[in-house]
Amino acid sequence: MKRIMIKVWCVVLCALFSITAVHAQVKELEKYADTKNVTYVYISKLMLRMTGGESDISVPGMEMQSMLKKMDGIQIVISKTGKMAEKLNADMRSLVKRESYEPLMQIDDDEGKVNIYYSEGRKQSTVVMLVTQPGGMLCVFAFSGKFDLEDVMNMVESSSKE
Amino acid sequence: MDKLNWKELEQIPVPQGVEERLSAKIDEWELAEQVKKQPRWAVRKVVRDLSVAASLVLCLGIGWYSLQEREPENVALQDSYQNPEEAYAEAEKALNLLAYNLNKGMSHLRLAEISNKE
Repeated sequence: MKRIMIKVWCVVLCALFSITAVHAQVKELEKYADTKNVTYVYISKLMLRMTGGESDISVPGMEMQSMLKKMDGIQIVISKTGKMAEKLNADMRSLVKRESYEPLMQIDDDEGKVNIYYSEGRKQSTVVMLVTQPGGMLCVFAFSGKFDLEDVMNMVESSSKE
Repeated sequence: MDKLNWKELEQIPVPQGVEERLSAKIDEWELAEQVKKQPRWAVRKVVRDLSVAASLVLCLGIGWYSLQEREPENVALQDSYQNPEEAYAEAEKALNLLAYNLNKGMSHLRLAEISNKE
């Protein structure tokens, strides 16, 4: 009886966790949705499907349609002010450490600094790109969806053919 | 020897009312045991009922919390664009920038590979 109860509990808890973990976006960025001096853009899965299905515009050299099909949401956070940019940067650093994101690429040149991280989860994967411009402006892009690293690298390959 | 002892024992006079007193004592012990057993069982039942109630409260709480999170009042969950074309343009820009940066990094890598070969 006790074992049955434990098993039932495990099933119930797993179901509840799966319900709460459905969010197709980086939770850390959600708090910037209503913050002053910060631009927050969220494009949902539904909107991406609508746009991907209707429009024939494409990013040069990139398999846009297949990526759009696999993507569940895009979040963009832009902070121009120094203080907020610093806070956003610190938040992103802690997120990357805490959720064990793999650093994919780091570019440091005259145009600024770009860090790209990748995290592959059981339900969804995320690519986070931090773009720090020379003036101190910070842009964070979070692409979430059911894609894998191969899809991301295919994006590079198809783009480099151009 | 044993037979003799038994015979001797049988000859010993039994005091009056011993049987009744013994059975009364046994009944008393049995009752005491039942009284001892009953609280444990009752406690177990209460604990079981409480755990079921706590489980229900927990399930309802988590369910309510997840529903609250999904409500459209959460600004972060609302689409920033109502027009699909605008949303697409923004998505395109973001993906383009990602592709551009990935390619920039890869081109540096390719350059390094070429210079290594030379």
